[in-house]
Order: sequence, then structure tokens, then C-alpha cells
Amino acid sequence: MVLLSIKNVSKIYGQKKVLDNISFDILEGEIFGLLGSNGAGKSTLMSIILGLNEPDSGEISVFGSAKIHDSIKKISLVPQDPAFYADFSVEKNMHFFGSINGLGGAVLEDRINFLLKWLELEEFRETTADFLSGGYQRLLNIALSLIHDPLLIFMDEPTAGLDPKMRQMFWSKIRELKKSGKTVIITTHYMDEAEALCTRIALLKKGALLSIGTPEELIRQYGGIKVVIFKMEKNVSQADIESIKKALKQESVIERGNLLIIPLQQAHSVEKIAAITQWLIDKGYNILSAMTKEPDLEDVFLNITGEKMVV
Amino acid sequence: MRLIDIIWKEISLIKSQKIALLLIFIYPFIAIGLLGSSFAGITAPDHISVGIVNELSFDSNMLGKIGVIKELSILNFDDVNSMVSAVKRKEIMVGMKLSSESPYSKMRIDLYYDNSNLLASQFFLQIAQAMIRNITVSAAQEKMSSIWETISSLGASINSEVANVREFQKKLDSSGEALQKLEDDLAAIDFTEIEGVLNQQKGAISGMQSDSAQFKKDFAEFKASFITMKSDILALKPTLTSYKSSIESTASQLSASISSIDSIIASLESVKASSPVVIGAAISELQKNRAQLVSYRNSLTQAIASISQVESNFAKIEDSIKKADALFAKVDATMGGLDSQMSSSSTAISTVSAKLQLFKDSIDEVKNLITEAKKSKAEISAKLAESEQLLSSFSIKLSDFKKIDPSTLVQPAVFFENRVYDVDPFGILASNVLVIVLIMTCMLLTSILIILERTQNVSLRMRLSPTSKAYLLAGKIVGQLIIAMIEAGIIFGVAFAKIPLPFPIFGISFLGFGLHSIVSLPELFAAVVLISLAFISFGMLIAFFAKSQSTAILASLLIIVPMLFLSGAILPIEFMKPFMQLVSRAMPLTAANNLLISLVVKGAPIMDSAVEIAILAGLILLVFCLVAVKKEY
Repeated sequence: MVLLSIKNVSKIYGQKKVLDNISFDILEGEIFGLLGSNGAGKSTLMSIILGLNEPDSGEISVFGSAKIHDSIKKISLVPQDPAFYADFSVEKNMHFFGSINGLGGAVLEDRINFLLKWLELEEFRETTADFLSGGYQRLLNIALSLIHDPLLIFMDEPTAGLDPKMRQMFWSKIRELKKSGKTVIITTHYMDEAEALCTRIALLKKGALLSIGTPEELIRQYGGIKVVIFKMEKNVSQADIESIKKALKQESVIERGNLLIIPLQQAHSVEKIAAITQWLIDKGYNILSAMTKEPDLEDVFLNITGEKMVV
Repeated sequence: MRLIDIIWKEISLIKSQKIALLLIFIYPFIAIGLLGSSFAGITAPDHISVGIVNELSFDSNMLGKIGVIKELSILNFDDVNSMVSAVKRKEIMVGMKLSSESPYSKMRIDLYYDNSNLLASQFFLQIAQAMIRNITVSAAQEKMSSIWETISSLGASINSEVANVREFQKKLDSSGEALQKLEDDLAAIDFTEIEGVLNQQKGAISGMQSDSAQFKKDFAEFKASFITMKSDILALKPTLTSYKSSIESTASQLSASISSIDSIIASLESVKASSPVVIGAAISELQKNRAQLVSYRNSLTQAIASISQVESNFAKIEDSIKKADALFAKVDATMGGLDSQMSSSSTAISTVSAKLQLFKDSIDEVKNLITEAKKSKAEISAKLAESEQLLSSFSIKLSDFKKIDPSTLVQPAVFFENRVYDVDPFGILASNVLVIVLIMTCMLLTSILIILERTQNVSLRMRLSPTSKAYLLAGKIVGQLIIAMIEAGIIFGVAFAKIPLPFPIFGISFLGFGLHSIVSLPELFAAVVLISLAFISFGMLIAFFAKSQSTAILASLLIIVPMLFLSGAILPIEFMKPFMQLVSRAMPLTAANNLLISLVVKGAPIMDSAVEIAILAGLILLVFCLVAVKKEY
């Protein structure tokens, strides 16, 4: 079921077109990633979807309605920056925002207890928000956004600036949300996060939608080639490099010091790696180590945009 | 070096706050510009409006002097109540009631002033009092001057009176000499001779004069008559002769006529038979005529006889006339002798006349003397009258001076201050304090908290919640109002309460100040709510434009401090230039202060402050309109 439908949405600020005819749908239950560098239009698109901004053209429907306010109770935003009263305690913040989101009484209490437990904030119930560490402040941010049990959750850079352990925790919580039937839309700079979490990804650059699809689809389509890197005890001779090129029928075999870098098409890449390894051994070269780099979303982005992702 | 780095860091931080930087440099200009525009060059108001109730039962030049003070514009009132009402309505700054027991006692000046403002009232009261005191001093000086002038003129007048007396003395001396000369002249006149001559002639002249005069008169008349008669008579004779001839002729004619008629009649008789009637009538008629003619002729015949008689008497008369003429000549001779006698008498009389002339001259001299004496007397009388008048006026003045209370020369008027509102000045202070506390807290807190929510991103969550902006705003405003009410409760609680302490603490025996006021509590509550709402709106307005708390605080101060100075709480509004007075009155702080003063100090109903309410409500409305337009609340 399509929860969110965006059709030909454009937005211009002054002379600059920040969104250019964007169209895509978001299905129920998926984790959808909006990927793009700074200035790609992710935040603008999100603000338009949330009704904080008006598009100059196009239509948006959320839960089948063009008026976002009709579905406001089902939608939530986890902003990138903390959005709570720093001088209130965790519980007081949750009480207040639960109240303005229409909850009260026992329902609210249950919800608070659930979230505190689920997000491991129980011990910080009475702690003033300002005194929480960065990670727990993010968790509180999430808790406040989920207080009214929304169905569609927007997360803006949810793990930016977190340590790896916290990141993993956030990822697990996001997956749990998906499992519980929530639909999550994430904006992120992190390719690994998008690859790890998103069921589908939309790539944006300068307001334009470059591509949309599952990570695998995008990598397959735009990811390019695998790269195998051999670390040699001694440099490979130029003649041998030429031989490898000739055998692989490709020009791109690179030597960097004692590293031999060979890009390979995905098809039959494993057999080719085995064959090259054997050939080098037969040639008397000592291979200290070998590693392969699979194409990823970063490669996809680079290949599509011609630029590296700017964070 | 480290210290310099730290100092430079501080300055750089300030420089980095662009808006704060702008405020830091604009604020002094605005503050000095506003205050300078309002108060520069003003040492006192151009004029003070003063009301006067005159209860003096006499004319006093004090009123005239007050009227010419150009710094005062005077309004007259019939009674104190209407004047006090005018003070309360601020139509006049100060009211004065003038009264005094008498023109010679000290004047009592009751000053009525609006004590609802601690500063302005005292300013104007003191200014008005100083102006009036100047006049009273001036009046006292005038009194002293007039007394001094009177004394000086008294001295000059006495000198002049002394000179007059000396002159009178001289005149009296000269009059005495003239009188003496007159006496001598009168003594020289010999009245005995005059009396003898006069007696002699008296009898002669007296008889002759009267007889002669009478005779002359009669004789003259007679002679005149005689002459007339003589002429008439002599003239009559030929006339008579002629008349007689005429009559005779007429008689002859009549006879002829009669004869004619007879012949006619005879003729007619002869023919009568032919026409008896007619001829008969004619004959009759003719006979009648004949008869008449006969009568006439007879008369004429008688007249002729009479005239003949008169002619015979005429000769006798002529003889008489001749005799009379002879008598007349004799009389004339007698009259001549008489004239010569009278001539000698005339000479005697001339002698008498000469003597009399001498006497007359003397009498004239006496008359002149008397005239001069009269004149001198008139002059002396006039001078004496003047002296009397002068002395009387001096006497009156001295009497007046005696009536004057000497202390009025030093202190001609006594001032009494009367407050138009029966209120403790602390009530004014409490109201001012509340307004200042409310503006500081409501404005600052509201703006700071809104910005806090914005910086903490809480406003984003608010926008994404199903709770409407109106609800969120209402909650915010009510929350701020509760705080404002608590503050108002604390301030008025302390002001109105007077709880005795079980024992004095640092000399304080009571908790609270026991302020007495007739304010209506519901109206006071409504006013505090309105004022708080207005300042909360102001805070929201600041948060509308300020992006950080420091900017909000600066902006708040930028607004609050000039408003404080221009509200009249520190310097009277009346001291400002007219345009700035209008600006001041339109300011929310001024409106709030005036509203509370009106309720707490003056005890007036809240609707008397409709203008202030409108200003505050206008601000609230403006801000709510802006908030309604803005997406963020």
C-alpha cells in the first residue's frame, strides 16, 4: 500500500531550484532512504512532505490525503538536532509532548513506560535532559517522536555523530520499528547505513532524483566493478602487468608500489580472482595478502553523479 | 599577552553577534535621541495651567499680578469642587483658592494638586507655589513701597504746608496795611459840610423838582392840546362855510327834483285811465320817492340852520384863543425864573457830587480791598481745604496702615497644600513597581522562552503535533499570566497587608505596608490581566524578530529603558516637548501605568481609562495578527 505519494514536486528559492520535479512513492512497511550530499534537497523535500513548507508545484498525498494535517497523528519526525526541553526531565518531556499529541492518562503512562524501557532510558527517567549524553539525548529525541505511536516516521540523520555501538543500537531499533509495521523514511549521508537499513533508496543531487531502487538494484545497475587488491612482496613487472591485461582483456590494471589493483566485472569475478592468484604464484610472486572491494552505494553515487558524497 | 587575547576574544565575540552589535551601537543613539528629543532644552514647562477660585470679598491686585505671569494660563472656577474635578481630569495642573479675612490680613492660598503622580505633582506644585510666592513678595514690596511713598509724600506735604502758612502770614500782613490806609482815608472825609448842604438843598430841590416837573408836564400837555385845538378850529371855519354851501345846493336840487316828480305824477294822472294798474303803481312809487325827497330836503334845511348857529359861535371862540395865547406867554416867563433857581441848586449839587465822588473812590478802594481780601480768603480756603484733604488722606492711610497686620509685609500669603486624591503616595509607588515588574518579566520571559523553544527545536515538534497553534499560544499566554498574577499578588499583597509581627525585626513591626485603596478588585484583576497580556504580546513581538536570547534581551532593554524614561515614572510627561508627550501617552508602559494609577490611586472606574485600555488592546491585537500570519507560533 502506498503511504506517501510524491508527484512532480518542485521548489524554487529565489533563482535556485532546490527540488526539480521529484516523483516517487513510499510503500507501507518499508525503510526508505533519501540519499544525497548537502544541498541535494533532502531536508526541503522532507519539510514539504511534513507540511512545514509548500511546494511550488506538484502534489503530495499522505495516507491518501493531500492534507498532511489530516494524518498528522500518524506521522512523526525525529529531527537531527535534539528537540526537547533541556531543563525538563526525560519523563516530563515525554509527558508534555505526549499530551500535545493527544495522549493522556493511563494510555500516556503506559506509552511512556514502554518507550523508556524499549529505548533503555528507564534509569534516566528523572534525569534532566540537558544532563544526558549525546547518544541518550538522541534516544530521548526518538522517544518523544514515537510517543504517539505514529505509523510513518521521518528520521533526519538519525545516527550522525554517534559512536559505532550507538549506531548499531539505533539500527536495531529502526529495524524493530519496521518489524512492528512502521514505515520509516531516513535521510542519511552514510552509505553503509542506507545499505544496511533501507529497503529502497532514492538518490538526490541538486534537487533532482537520480535514481530510486533497492540497494542491490542500484549497486547492480550503477555499482560498477569489483576490485581485487594484491599486496605483493615485490613489485610486479611491467611485462607481467601487460600479460594480466591481455588475459583479462582490459586496460585497467594498476600498480601502486607493492599493491596490484585489478578491477573486475562482477560476472565470474571469483574464478578470475582464483586464476590471477594462481598465475602470480606460478610466476614466483609472493602474495602477502589479497582483498576484494565489492561495489557499494558510494560507488553507485560516484558513478551516477560523478562526485563523491560530500558530508 | 594571554589577557589581551582574552580581551580580544571578548570583543570578537561581540562583533560576531551582528544584531547584538547593531543594537549596541544603535541603542545609545536611540536612547539619547529619544530622551534628547523629549527633554533637551526644557528646564520647566512653557506654561502651567492653573485654576483659580476667588473667595476674596475685596478687590485684590494679586489676581491681576497672577494673570500677567506669562508662564501661567489661568482658568477661573466658581467653586472648589469644579476646580478639583478639573485637576483630576488634568485640565489644569494646580488649583488655587484665594481667601482672606480682610484686605489687611494674610491671604490664604489653598493649592490643590493631582497627587496621583509622585514626581509631576510635586514639580508643578512647587513651580506654581514659587511663582505665586514671587507675586506675594512683590505685593508685599509694593505695600512697603506705598507706605514709604506715603511717608515721603507726608514729609513733602508738611513742608509745603509750612510754606503755605508763611505765605498766608505775609498776605495777612499786607492786608493789615491796606486796611489801615483805608481807615485813614475814611477818617479824612468831612461828612458834616456835605450833610449841611444836602439838608439845605434837600427841601428846595425836593419841592421845586416835584412841582416843576409836574407843572412842566401838565403845561406841555395843555399847550400841545390847545395848539391842536386852535388849528382844528381855525381849519374848521372854511370847512363849515363850504359845507353849508353844499347843503344849500343839495337842498335846491332836491326841491327841483320834487317839482319834477310832481309834474310827472300829474302827467301820469292824466294817463292813468289807459293803464290804471300799471300807472297807478308807478304813481304810487313816485309818490313814495317824492315823500322821501321831501324828507331829505327838510333835513338839509335843518342842517343849514345849525351851521349858521355854529358860525356865530365861532367868533367867540376866536376871542378866547387870543386870550389863551397871552396866558401862555406869561407862563413861559415864570418857567424861566424857575430854571435859574434850579441852576443854583444844580451848582450846589455839583459840590455835593464832587464830595460824593471822593467818597465813592474811597468806597471803591474798600471794595478792591474787600475783593482782594475775598480772593485771598478763597485762596487760603482752597489751600486750607487741600491741606485738610491731604491730612485726611494721611489720616485714612495711617488708619489703613494701622489695620495692616505687620507680618503680612513679610509673609503676605500662607500656602496650604491639598491633595485631590486621598491616597498614600505608596499606592502610586506600588502601581509603578507592578508595571515595571510586569514589563520586565512578561516581556523578557515571553521572548526568551519563545526563542528558547525555537533554539531547542521544540517549536518544530509543536508544529508537527495535532495541537493547534491557538491552543499552544493560549497555554503559553495563560502560563505567563499566572506568573504575572503571582507577581501582582505579591506586590499588592505586601502593599495592602499590615500584619503585626510578634516581635520587631530590625525595627519593622508590621508585615506589609497597609495601603488603603478603594480599588475594585475585579477591575484591578482585569487591568493586571490586560497589562500582562500587552507585555506578553510585546515579548512575542520581540521573539518574532530576535533570533537569539541575547538579542531578545537587548531588544527588550532597548524598548523598556526609553519607555521607562518617557512614561512619566521618572520624569514628568508634562516636561516633554508636545510631540513627545503624544508619543509617550501612546506607549504601552505609560498606558499601563496610567491605568493602574487610575484604579488604585484615584479609585476611578476602569472605563475611565478607555484610551489606555484601547492602546494596550491595540498592541495585543497587532501582535496576535502577526502571530496568526506566521507559521511558527
